[in-house]
Amino acid sequence: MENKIRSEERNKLPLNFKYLNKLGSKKSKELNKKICYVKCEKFQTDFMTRVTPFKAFTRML
Amino acid sequence: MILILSANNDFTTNEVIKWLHIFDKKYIRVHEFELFEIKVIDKKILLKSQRNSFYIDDINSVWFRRGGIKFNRLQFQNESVNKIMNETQFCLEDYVIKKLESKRHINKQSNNRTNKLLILEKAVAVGLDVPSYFLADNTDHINLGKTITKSISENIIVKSAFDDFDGILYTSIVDKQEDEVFFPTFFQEKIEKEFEIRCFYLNGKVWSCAIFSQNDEQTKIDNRIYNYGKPNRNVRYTLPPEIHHKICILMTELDYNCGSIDFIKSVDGKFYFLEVNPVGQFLGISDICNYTLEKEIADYL
Repeated sequence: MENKIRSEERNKLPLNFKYLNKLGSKKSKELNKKICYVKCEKFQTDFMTRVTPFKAFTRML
Repeated sequence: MILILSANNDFTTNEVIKWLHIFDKKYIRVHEFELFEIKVIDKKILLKSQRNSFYIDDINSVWFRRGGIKFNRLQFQNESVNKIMNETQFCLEDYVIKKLESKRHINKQSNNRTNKLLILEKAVAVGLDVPSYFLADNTDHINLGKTITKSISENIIVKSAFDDFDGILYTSIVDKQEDEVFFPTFFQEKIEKEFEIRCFYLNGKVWSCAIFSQNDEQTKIDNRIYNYGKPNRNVRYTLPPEIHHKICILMTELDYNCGSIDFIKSVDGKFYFLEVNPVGQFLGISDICNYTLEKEIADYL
């Protein structure tokens, strides 16, 4: 899909804009919407990612 | 007390903070949009924002990750007074930043802008091999298929470039002549690589990871076009001592004591320097190679 940036700009852009890639996929966009952040006073951030442990609990025993 | 200058949503900062908790080190985290006022209490300088308040004398170390200390600069009615007060406020702000940077630190707010072109020149000057490069506004002298182009800006994400997607400026091969001139663009010789090397540098120590990206059509030009289905093989790697030594000289020249550095190991056995990013991502190689670099940072602070 041709990006719309080059045609929209009045001034010339560097050539690498011709090779602009799409970032992510529809699937990853949908996944990003589902990512939940929590405000966390301990880490002084509003963006503490809620992650599930990637190791099975049985392996942690 | 440790001062962390970072973005509110920076995941890497959270990972370092986990280790600060383990080491029982106290810290203050400043977000990118915080505005500080400089106050003086009992002859001591106090920085106060809506979220934080601290004396600069109480800060023992500083980690500049993102953003930085920003000040709420006052405006004055009289033009001449405004000019004098602007300069006065700048002097105070500059003093505060320099005082904080004179403490134990990881990178500096005042030195956070990278210039890829100048860095390449310095890399050549310290004796690192750099693929030949040039700027041009046409493709007249481009060796098609054997030349890459990439961005010289740090930010490579273009918001809303496509109807449903943002765009990203990866490294690309130039394979076609252009009829028209374009804005001055960075071109570089394409190196046939054996593998890529991503390094993390901190105060003279270097941790490296070899990325075998050349066997996959999707990743062979830019490994950041990740193949999630069949990821590149990444393994711990140790650079030759002379390359390590040259990295140390380069980082000292650039006045960075921390950063991510990219190399290519070519098929003819040379190590080609590509770029340095003082605020680059390092959690990837930390996890894959089990380097726990976030612990190294927390330990240093």
